[in-house]
Amino acid sequence: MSIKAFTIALALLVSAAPLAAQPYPNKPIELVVTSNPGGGVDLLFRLLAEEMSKTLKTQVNVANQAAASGAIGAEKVAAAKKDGYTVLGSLLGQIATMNVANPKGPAHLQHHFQPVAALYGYAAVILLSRADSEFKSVKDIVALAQKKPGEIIAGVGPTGTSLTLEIELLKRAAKINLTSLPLAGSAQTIANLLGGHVQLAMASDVAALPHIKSGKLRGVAVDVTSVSLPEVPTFAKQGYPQVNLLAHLVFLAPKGTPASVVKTLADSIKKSLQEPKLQENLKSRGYNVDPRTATADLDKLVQDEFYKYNRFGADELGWKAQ
Amino acid sequence: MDTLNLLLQGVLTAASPENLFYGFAGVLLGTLVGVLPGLGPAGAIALLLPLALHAPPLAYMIMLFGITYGAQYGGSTTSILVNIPGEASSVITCLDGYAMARQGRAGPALGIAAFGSFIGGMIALVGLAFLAPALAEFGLHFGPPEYAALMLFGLTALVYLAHGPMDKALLMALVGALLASVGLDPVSGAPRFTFNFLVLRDGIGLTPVVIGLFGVSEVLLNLDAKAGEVFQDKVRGLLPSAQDWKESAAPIARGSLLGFLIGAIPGLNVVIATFASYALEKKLSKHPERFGQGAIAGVAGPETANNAASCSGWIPLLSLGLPTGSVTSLIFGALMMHGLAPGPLFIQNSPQLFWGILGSMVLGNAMLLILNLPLIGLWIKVLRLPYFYLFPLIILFSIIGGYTVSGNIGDVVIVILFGLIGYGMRKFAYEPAPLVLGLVIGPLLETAIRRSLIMSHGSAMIFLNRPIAALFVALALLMLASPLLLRRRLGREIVDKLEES
Amino acid sequence: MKRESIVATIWLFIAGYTAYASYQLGLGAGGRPGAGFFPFGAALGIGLIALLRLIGANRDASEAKPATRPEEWRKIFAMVTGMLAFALLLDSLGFAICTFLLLAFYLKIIAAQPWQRSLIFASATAVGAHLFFDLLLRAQLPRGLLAFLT
Repeated sequence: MSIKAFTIALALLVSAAPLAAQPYPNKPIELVVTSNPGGGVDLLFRLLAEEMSKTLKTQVNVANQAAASGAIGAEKVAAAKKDGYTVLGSLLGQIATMNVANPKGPAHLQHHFQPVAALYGYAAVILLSRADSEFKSVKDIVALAQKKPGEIIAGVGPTGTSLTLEIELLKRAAKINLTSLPLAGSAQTIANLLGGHVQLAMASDVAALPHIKSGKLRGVAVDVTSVSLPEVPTFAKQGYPQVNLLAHLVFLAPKGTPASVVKTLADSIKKSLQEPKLQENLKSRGYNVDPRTATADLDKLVQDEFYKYNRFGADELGWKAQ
Repeated sequence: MDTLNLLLQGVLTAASPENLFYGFAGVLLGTLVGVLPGLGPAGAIALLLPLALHAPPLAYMIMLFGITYGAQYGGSTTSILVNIPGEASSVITCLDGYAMARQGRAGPALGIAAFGSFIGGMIALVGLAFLAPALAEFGLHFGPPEYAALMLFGLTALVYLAHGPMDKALLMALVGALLASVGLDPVSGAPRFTFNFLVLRDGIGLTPVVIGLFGVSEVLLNLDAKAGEVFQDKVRGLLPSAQDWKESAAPIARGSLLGFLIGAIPGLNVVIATFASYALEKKLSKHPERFGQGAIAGVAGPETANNAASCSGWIPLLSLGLPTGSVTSLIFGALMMHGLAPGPLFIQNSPQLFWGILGSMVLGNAMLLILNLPLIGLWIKVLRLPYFYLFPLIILFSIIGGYTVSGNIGDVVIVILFGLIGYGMRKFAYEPAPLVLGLVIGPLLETAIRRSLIMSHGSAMIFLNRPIAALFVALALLMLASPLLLRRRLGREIVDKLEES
Repeated sequence: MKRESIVATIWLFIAGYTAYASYQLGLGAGGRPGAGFFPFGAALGIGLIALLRLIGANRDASEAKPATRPEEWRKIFAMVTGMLAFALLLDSLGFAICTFLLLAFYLKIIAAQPWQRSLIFASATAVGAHLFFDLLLRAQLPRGLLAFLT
């Protein structure tokens, strides 16, 4: 009796299996985003997920897992089923820095992930000074720093992000000494600049925009031409091409995800990005997104990223072992 | 007069059926997540972010703001009823609120918390309407040295939080500061005391610690209690009496002002406003010995201060576009999703939105008062449940609370661990409040001092040659000297009382 | 008095270890405190207070509660085991099932209530909690075995 029941159950299970094997995707997709909800990275992924839900005809849900600089979210996706229903949305540098500092550590870009798409240089980082200050260009800063080493204080932070590391690169490239004051992020660096506690500040261009418009702050240089502040020249244009840690956003699937699934996802991302309404939306919020390059040269991108951060010590990247 | 007009117009805008509905949904959800330990406004707002793409901007923002101040109303409920802070900002309410509940006075405690929140919210709202731009400018004067001095001043509250011997309180505060140093060092970026656990990189969260320390340990301590031992059977009053009001009026007034001022300084935790209010009330009270034993002033002041602070906490965001906390960052993100990024010109460029939100806060606070008062009767009934039903539920909510903070089992383990630690502390008469103070103020003080010394290239003069910083350093020294005088006065009072009897 | 001394000794050990670990983190130089400076200071403070308590310099009559009795220990052990089991099984069994198990365990084993009452209360709470947290609040709690119930 019980054997019979068991065989029936087994038969049911087996017959149910083909039912589940409908073409991908046939159920909601979880997009694990390794940033806090409400931030610039999260917002872009949310807007994109909304559009992807339409092109894929299934819900793409954003789940934020920002703990431990994104390491926990990355580990979760790396260990997930390789079926394309759990994918990672992340700032590439976030995972690359962790891998560079600790190649044997959690979730490795090359060993555990299959890149699906990338948004190259999605947003600009801007170097700010007060509008009433003498710092109008990088040259002014370098000139004063040479005269008075260490006296200029620049608000940076958090550790390991381009908001901190690009100032380090500028110090190296121009052979100057600035004092970096580590703060918690754009809102704090701008507040400290407005209050006159620091003379320079690193911030995201979107956060800086209203303060430049109101006439209180001045944009000195950007790492990539900003969509919302196109008139601010890049570091490269001012003679320091080394100061360039472009931030890329990536979609990653666990390594071993079937190629057809990866392609479906990649196509959906590309198609969504081409949607005029989304493009308009992204542009008005200051994002720099080019759908043409979204799926190009992904392996090289990862390679370059490792090369980029290899210049820094593990402590500078925020991943010093204890 | 102009401002008053604009505010009135804002109220009218917020009173449209659609806005009213969203507002009510917001304050209701806010109360709910406020009551539930662990779950807070940040979680609820994150949950509602996808809705931003579909809802009308003003109505949506009214709802999100409703969640934030609704949570301040709900936060005190579990603090008073079962000694678990529903929000971290209600942790101090546990001290006297829970003591009142055990004496059968949960009703007046809940009532004064609701009235205090209402009055504090309204006063802060008027302040927000009239003073927002000026206060925002003032807040910018606070650089690292000013924060350091302010935190030093805040640390003196320890003297008033301690009930027993001072050295034990100091030890607890140091332990709290040490616990706070776990995780990534915000200045150098080096991981500290993480023992290579990934979950510890973000540090030990305030919420799981207070849930364990207050809520779980209380259950462990009461496991053997007989009926009526944990909560007195006789319920004494549903609402604050005339005497309660007399004792609470001044604390509410002071709490409003204190909360409003502290909230306006960007980057300060609302918890600090409640600690400051509690310390102030105990210092000014004629009966400081009653604090911790169910003094209603110890509920009224802090519960007023936290709502006032959460209201003025919007100033840096709304008048400068600077989100300096996790909830304000979320609201900033929500505004971004609507393409309405706030900045210095926000009030000028989007007056309808700004005044509409302020107007909705007037209506929302009124709704919350009306919503919360009838609930008191229900909450008191919960306490009448036999303890063998109550304690599994308290534990369940504690665990869920720990989990929902960030979706990590690690936080549940921290809840359990601190439940045991809290139990041990109670057994050996160590108080949890000073530990929480150390946990909140310790890291702020440390980073501020270290940042200041980076700015000054190592010279400690930076704390003395900037006027605001010097002022707070002086105040801190004054506060440290005054308890010596106060203690003498206290001693004399006790002697007087003994002679009377 | 003996118990107080044991506690003070434990504090001394904690202080000793953290002081050592903080020193390893680096105390900083040139007027700039390093990552270990403040934890080191806190550890020294804890150690000093503990030492003073140990030698009895500032011992006082603070009301330590009576020692835990053996049967109380058993209950606390059962309580903590229940919570830990909940934490460990949450991901695999899911939130609703764990809630049921925890409540049934507490009511039956710790509160010594009759089976029927324990099971009814546990089931009611589990169903209620599922409806409330999963469906109404949509909190991100693991569904586990009941993943199909969405």
